[in-house]
Amino acid sequence: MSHCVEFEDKNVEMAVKKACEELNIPREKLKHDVISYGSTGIFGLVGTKKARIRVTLPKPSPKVVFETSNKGQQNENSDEQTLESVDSQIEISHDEGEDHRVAVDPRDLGREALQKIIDLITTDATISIEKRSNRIVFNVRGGNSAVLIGKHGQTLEAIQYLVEKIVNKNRKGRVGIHIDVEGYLEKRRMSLQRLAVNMAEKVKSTGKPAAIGQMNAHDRRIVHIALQDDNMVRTQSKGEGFLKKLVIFPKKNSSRKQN
Amino acid sequence: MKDLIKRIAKALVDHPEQVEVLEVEGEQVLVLELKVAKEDVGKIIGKQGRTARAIRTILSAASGKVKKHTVIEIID
Repeated sequence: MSHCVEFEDKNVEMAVKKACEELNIPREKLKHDVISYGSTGIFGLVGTKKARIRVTLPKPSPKVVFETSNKGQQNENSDEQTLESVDSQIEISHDEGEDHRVAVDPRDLGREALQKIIDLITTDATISIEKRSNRIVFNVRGGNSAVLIGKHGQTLEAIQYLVEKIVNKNRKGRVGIHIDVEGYLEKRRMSLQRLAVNMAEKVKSTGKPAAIGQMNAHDRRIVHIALQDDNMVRTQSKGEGFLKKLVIFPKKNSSRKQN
Repeated sequence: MKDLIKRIAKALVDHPEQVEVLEVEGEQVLVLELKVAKEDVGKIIGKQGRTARAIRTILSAASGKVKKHTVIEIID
């Protein structure tokens, strides 16, 4: 039923853009597979490969509407109506295919999952929930908070990660989950900010870059933000995986001032 | 303990009915063998083993309560 069109450009991003323009499809509705990511080769000279993507149209399942109503050709003005029907169709297909959890409030689901995990680690801990714009904050009180937090907050991080996974499974959008034990997150943030400022001072006085090792994304973000207004240093993450080093470099003021 | 792993695993996979946890108990160590459907193994392990690591971290925190070293093995 669906036929494919291939697009080629310097990189995937540009190929997608090209496809969107030529097919007149909004970016988020474009269904494509990447055939090759392309490469810039060595110094952009040897072995340059173009990125290729394959765009499938008209779109299969939840967007059946398109196929029946206008055979894959989209009308700008019909977009809004179809969007609504697409949404309702997605919900229906979720209800049929997957379990009932889709309908459950992420707060309840998260609390349930969190309570189960916490109960097995410690006893007498209670959870209170705070809802902020697009994330949910669980505050845990009581129980053995030291065990819950773990070394450098690693147990807390693991719990948060798993609860987030459980909550976001079978969901369309993503909800951020934060878990705090007795104000630990705030304490950690303060100590990281202090560390960041101290390290920056050291870098300024020695003129040599300094690294803070083994930091997760959340911690790195705190340090980056803490030092972003400091004109004397710049920060950069280095390394692979989710634990990266964060390096603070001195800024050479004379050369950097132009930009 | 077995229950904890079973619940976490069931919440993460697409085929919760195929989740099995076997307990092998030693004198000092408790080995939990987690068995999931073939296509769910990736979900349990996660990107760069992140989910598996998170489960292990929680397990080691929980094993302080039973005073036994706990290990989890993922079997497909």
